[in-house]
Amino acid sequence: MDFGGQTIDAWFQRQPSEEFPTGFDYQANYAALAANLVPLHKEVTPTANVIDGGYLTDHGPEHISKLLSRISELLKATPNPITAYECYLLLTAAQVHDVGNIFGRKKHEEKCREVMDDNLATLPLDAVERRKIFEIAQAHGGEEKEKLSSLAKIEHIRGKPVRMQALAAILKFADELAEDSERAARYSAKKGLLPPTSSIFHAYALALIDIHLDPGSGIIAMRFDLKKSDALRAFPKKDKQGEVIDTFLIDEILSRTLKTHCERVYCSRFMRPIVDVVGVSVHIDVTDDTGYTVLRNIAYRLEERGYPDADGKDIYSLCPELREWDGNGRFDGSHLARKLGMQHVI
Amino acid sequence: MSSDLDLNPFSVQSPERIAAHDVLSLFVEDFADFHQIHRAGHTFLHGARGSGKSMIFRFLEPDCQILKKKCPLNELDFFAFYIPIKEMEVKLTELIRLEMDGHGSLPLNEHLMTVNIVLKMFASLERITQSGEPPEETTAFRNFISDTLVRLLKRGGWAGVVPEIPAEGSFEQYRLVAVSLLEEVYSEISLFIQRLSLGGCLIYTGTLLGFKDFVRPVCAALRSMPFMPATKPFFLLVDDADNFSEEQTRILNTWVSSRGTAEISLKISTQRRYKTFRTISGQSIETPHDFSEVEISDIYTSDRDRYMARVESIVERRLQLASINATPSTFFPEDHKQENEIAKIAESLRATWSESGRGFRANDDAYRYARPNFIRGLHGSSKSGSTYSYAGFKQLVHISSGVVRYFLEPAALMYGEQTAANEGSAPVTAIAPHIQNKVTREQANRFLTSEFERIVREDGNLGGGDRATKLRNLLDSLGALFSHILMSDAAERRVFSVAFSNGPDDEVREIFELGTEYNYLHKSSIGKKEGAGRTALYILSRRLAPAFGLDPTSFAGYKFITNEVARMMMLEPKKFHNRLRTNHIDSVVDPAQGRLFEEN
Amino acid sequence: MAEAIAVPLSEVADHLPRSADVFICCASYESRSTSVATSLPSDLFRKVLICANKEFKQEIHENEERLLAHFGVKAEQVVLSHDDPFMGLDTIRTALVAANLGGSANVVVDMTTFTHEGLLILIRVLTVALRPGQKLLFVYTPASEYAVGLPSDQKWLSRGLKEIRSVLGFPGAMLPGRPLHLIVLVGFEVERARLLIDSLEPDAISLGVGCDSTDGANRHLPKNIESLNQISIHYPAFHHFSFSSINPYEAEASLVAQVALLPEMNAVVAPMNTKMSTVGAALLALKNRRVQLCYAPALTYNTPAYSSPADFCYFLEVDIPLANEVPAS
Repeated sequence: MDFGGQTIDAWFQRQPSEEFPTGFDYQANYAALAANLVPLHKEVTPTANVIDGGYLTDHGPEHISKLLSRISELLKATPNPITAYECYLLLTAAQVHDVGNIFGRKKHEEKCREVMDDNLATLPLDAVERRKIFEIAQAHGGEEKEKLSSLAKIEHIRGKPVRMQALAAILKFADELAEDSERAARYSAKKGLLPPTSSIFHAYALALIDIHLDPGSGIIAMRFDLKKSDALRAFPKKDKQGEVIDTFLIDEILSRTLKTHCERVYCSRFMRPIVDVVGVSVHIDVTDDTGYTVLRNIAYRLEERGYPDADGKDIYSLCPELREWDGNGRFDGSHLARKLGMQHVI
Repeated sequence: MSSDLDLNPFSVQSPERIAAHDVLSLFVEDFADFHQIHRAGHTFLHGARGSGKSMIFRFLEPDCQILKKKCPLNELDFFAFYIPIKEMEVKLTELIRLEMDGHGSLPLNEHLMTVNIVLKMFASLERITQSGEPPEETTAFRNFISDTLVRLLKRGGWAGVVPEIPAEGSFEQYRLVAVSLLEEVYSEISLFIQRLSLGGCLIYTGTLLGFKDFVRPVCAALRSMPFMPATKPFFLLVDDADNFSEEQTRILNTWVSSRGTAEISLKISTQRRYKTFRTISGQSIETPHDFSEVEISDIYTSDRDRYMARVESIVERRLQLASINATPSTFFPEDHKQENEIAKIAESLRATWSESGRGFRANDDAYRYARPNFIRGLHGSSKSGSTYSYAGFKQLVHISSGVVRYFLEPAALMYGEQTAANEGSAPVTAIAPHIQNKVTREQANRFLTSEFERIVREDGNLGGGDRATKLRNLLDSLGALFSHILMSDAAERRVFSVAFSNGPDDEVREIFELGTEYNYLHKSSIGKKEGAGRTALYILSRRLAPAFGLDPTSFAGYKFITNEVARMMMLEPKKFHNRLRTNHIDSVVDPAQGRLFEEN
Repeated sequence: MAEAIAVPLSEVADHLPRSADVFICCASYESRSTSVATSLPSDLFRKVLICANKEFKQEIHENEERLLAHFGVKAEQVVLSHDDPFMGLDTIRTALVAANLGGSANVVVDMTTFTHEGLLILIRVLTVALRPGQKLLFVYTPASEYAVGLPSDQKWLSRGLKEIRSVLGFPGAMLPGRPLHLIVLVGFEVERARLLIDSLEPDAISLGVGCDSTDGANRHLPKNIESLNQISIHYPAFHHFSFSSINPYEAEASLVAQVALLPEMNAVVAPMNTKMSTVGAALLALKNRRVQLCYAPALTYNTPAYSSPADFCYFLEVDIPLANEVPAS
């Protein structure tokens, strides 16, 4: 898709009105919605911090801009463009996807509905269209990871085909990529003013100095730059059980880049053939504390390589239904033999 | 006891209308077969109409379970809501407009289903009131309606007026408030549907709800009620899911594919016309990881003794409830003259077994050949094959082919005729054999002729006249084949099944599957002729035995047929019948390969 | 005019208003599909819409050609589909829009050989196509004999049941959880009615029989009563009622009373009697939107000998509720 050097929302505004269903000015209303949400976006992070007691990375207008530019990047290389109407649904979902954080982080992806209800004047009258926007938006996050499968591959809305799974996957993956140093509270981090268990997230964001898609290779390139002092520092971080454990920034980088890989693998199932990203390459420079001298550099690539390797894995990890077969433990030859009442034959 | 059973002990009532005490009296619990049904997890329950699916569901409802388990509501192992799917409620012609004009078919159908199901859940809660033990503490239920339910509706876009909910009220009063609220929500979509017929602007501005954002949280909130069994699953008993349209079926499958069976398990019954197992995203739901599956007919055709015992128990109970002092066998007596003749033939076979016997034991020959020889004898000089009597409890059970309703419905007709024959003067204490025989033959003919045309109704749009003709030819040909074998000197003469020694091609398979779909045939599997692998086995319904003069007491034998013979049966039935008459059976079909099972 | 008037076919034109705009009829395999039309002067109408079900193209060809030849350039073919009710609705609506009904237009409909469903859909479209002040006249040619040539105990009109569907435009408001009250206007087709009842499994059944007969010799009524008796054997606990086979308003009144008998139930009406009574069912469902009308097409029809026409027809003007007058619920 040729965005003419601009981002996708500008492309969207240039599309002819015949591309859209009749009876609603999608372009003007989108612009109005985006403008209306700017002040709300600015409030999301501080209000969420008050409610949850942490210090979120930026979820304000800059994050939305970054998200739109990531979406643009992903779609620039596509041989399979999205339609203007699909673009409307995607952009609107992008605008509202994180606003639910203003009510607190838990189930924030579902709470955007309330904000949508407060902005009905700039949203389509049709409840079906609004629901589609919500479905794309809420698929980006939450405790339940597997949301994209329950969306339709293609649905017809207002007479137009909409590739729901693909749009939701693009938003989800672009949101994953919209994490970089600009989201971090740089000064507060530097001055140690952040709540201790939030500081590692800001440190991660600060370290991520570049992330972009190389269209030729289909690889997401992530570049980290961290000082020795940060590399050696143990950050307190809450684990899933709420226990605080000391975590190195490198370990956070490893964990998060693995998550990016998993998001890529998962989202690729649904966003191919519109967006085809085949791997994530990570480059980490550890510098001295002046930042000039590179003491160590580490590079690795997360991608599917060569022939799938079954060594060390077993079928039970892929097929959990075989782990507890017939209510009696793992399914294998011996188990079946016992069930059939036969003696083991050598 | 309900008045219908007072009038006729075999009347077939809709289980929905049977009171809990009567259900416990009538229902024969046989959950060894259906263990998946009352465990957490999604389950599909397939079976012909009348095989007892709805009765199973009725039995699972809380008012019946309370009586069965003799415990209060909150100590049950699960709480079941009965959700019957009525064709005229969900498959509205107008909804096709949504697909045609390409707008919102999925979310609108899901909303329709969601409201339909939740409304029926609240209707189903009336069973609690009917149980005679409605909860005394109703504050939590009141708050659920005024807070949670209203909030969820508003979240879905409902902008109606919250009804007045009395501070003090009974469970039933609050239930009715919830029902009325949901009916108001339903009327929004109903009005929209009415506009759909004329097309035009399809913008929908009403409430829009789905499984995840409405059914699940409603269930979660209801489960937390003090009168509900804590931490136990809800079962949504979706009865006759074949009545959903294809789009709605995909939506239901998407619900099945979602997690959370510990909270909500979908128990879905079908008459084997379920339209698809694909979800809205195109994936298929599969067993066992998405759902378990129970095929009622399979259970009863593979274990005939169990079915016989079940029907016997059912009939015993019904006779007791009607204060009729008789056993099933004495109430449905055999034609004694005929049975005496058959017994004589059996004795003769035992006597000659040592010289000319074929079976392993004398009794084997007696069992296998006595009745067929009797039937063959009837076709001798007098050509009066039709004088074979199908009277007798066991024969009637065999003819019902594993579906209880196919026993009860004819039995009800027989009772009616016997009552008329008694001219109201004497109570009915038995059904005369000639009445049993007459009704059984009439039912068989009806099944083969007029019901045949009704049953292939859905085929009409797919060139159905042609498929219907082929199926009819096939059934006639199979009947003729099995009759021919019965009259022959073959080692196994009670043949009711065929399997394919080659093929079948798509056209043949399609017609056999059509026959299965409409219960003329039952499908199973058998080892291939070559020895390796399995192939489909098609068993003719014994409901057709009287139409073709067959012995219904066994379906032990099977024949392999070739694809070419099957095609002849379907497309050139006259040629097939001629071949049967003029050639030896084994030159028309393959020689018999054996028996499906041994009998004593 | 609230009563249906019986008029000899030769005098039909005398009873039509001079300013009749549009004539709508349905070509069929029944010869009475042309009875009224060919009795009228070909230049009487500004526009003639000749409807025809495409699934019966061969069987209706002759009668369709007769109609087209009779009305010449004024005639327009409107394709209906027995299998696709949407096609019928869309084509009828398009044709009516193109007919440009203006002012105090009159529309005359020969409803004789429309299917019940086709007639109901036509009525539904007319509720939006007609304006206040415009008139709607229905004409109906009764049959002098059904299943022509067959002995009384072997007469058949149709066999089997293809499907059951709600009539487009009359979905009703089937409140989930409420029991179903099926109301059948019984005709001659016992088997089809039984199959319909068995499929829907209603909680309550009302079986209605005609209290009058469209044919002058009153041969149809006894057959109608016999049909009801045959059906009712299988459903001992049914509600019996009678309705007019000739007067739609009276039929409507009977149906209103029947629905009111069980007001808490979802009511579905299956019109299987005369087209006149079907109009009565339409009037009911247009005024009470909670009522659903259903249709059950057969698998096969006795097309070669379905009926022979009487030599007279019924005329009546009907006021149907127009779209902007119809209550919301």
